Amino acid sequence: MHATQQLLIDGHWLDGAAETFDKLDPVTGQRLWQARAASAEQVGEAVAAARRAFPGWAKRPFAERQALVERFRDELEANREPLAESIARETGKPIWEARTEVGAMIGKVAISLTAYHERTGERARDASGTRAVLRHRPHGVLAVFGPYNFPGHLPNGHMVPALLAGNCVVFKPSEQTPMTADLTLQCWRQAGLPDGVINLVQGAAAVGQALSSDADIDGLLFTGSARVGGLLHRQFGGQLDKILALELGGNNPLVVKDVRDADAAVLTILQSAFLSGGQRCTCARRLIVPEGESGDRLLQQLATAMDRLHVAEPFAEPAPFYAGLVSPQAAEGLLEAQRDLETRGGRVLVRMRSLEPGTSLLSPGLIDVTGCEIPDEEHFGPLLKVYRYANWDDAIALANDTRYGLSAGLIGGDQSDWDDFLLRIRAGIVNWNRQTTGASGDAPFGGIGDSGNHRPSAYYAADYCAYPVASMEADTLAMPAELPPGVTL
Amino acid sequence: MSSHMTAAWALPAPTVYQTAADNCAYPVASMEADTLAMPAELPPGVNL
Repeated sequence: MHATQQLLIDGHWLDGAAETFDKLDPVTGQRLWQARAASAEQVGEAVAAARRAFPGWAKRPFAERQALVERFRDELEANREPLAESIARETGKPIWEARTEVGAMIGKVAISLTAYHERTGERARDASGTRAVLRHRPHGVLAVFGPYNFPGHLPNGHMVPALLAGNCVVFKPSEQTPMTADLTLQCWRQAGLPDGVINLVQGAAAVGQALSSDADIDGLLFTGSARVGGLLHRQFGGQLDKILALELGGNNPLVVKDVRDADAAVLTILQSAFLSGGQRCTCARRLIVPEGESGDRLLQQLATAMDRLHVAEPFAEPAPFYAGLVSPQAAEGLLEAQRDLETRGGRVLVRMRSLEPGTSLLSPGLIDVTGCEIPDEEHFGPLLKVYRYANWDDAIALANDTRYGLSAGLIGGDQSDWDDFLLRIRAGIVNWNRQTTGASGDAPFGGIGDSGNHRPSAYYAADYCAYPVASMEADTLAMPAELPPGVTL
Repeated sequence: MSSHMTAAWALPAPTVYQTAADNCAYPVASMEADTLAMPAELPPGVNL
């Protein structure tokens, strides 16, 4: 399986007509992709192709759309390894983890079928001779903007439910992961995807702007940064005719209380903060630890485990816990963030370092910022901030002191602590004694505050892929037993 | 039309409840365990 390095518009693979861009492997520096981006005109053609395909696609019986999606799943199965390799090379994540991402894409099909029926299926009841029926209808043409950290799984989590509902799609992947999108679309075509039902436009911000401002899209499903999500939210303000679903970042807290098993606590912190090198939106960014000796000891043990954490290139043996960031520039940005936190008074407990010049490989960092004035930003990499707290109310207040609200976790404590935490913490994914990066695929996924716009995805993705139509129907028109007041025929 | 039938214009809309409830709450998904415990095997690259 090889990348076409082209766009897919109306069933045709075409060269882009705008400027050339490339994607380099962030660890080896090898060029993975070089091709022309889509021009604004080509973006318009992609939207028009989706619009033309829409009536026929929406009209098909659900069973036919389901069959196509299931054939796509079979194609993913057949191409697991090339897809995983592409994901590992583009994102810098370890191959073992890239394989789990392909697994999540495959699993998404069954989850989406269940969600379609449970969230948006059809139901009817008899209301004294009138049928009260609830059905759901697709919006039409949906633009899907993919992120770079899960270039297969996250856009797939929008596209599978969108297609099942009967929508057509124009997909703009991150310009940092064009190859995985290319291979995914080949799987769709191999499965028999009709022309125009998914169109692929490659490129960076100019392509995104052309697509998001196209008057003929019915909605936009975006996974990415809070900055870009905020721009889109403002751009879509006042456009009542379009649905916008935003999955953005977080500055996620992980609170530690009364830990008995220190090894298990350290492991849960590593899994929360440094899985995927911190490139998951659910990663813990702020570790909230009690003041005093037990907290000191835990941080000491965490620092030791961080020093021992194996970080190496994605295909290394033995396998690394995490590998590269998405680009050397992203790694430089993280180092800059660490320097910035230091100048604001942060005390480095474990210094994050570049492991090999010119690559995106970074060792994990830990910095105590208790009492420092620092910006409420998501640093998308292996950098964990520490806050020490005096009492439980302080811990909760610190945890909630963010404009975001994606994930949160509590490690330790008893049932009453957990009940209180669950009640007071403001986030959409709230875990106890489990890593913040563990989210169940069959639950809704999303947050509050600046983490999104109240359009949770995963199990609830079906909701934003369709709108409800309520009907009162009767085969025949008949006079009621009595006329309404004031009517005389 | 039998006399016990409600006139169609007087029937309540069937799905009003759905949207109103959705707008009044947000979902919280949790993975929870009473105790913190080590897994049977460590993830790749971790040495405690």
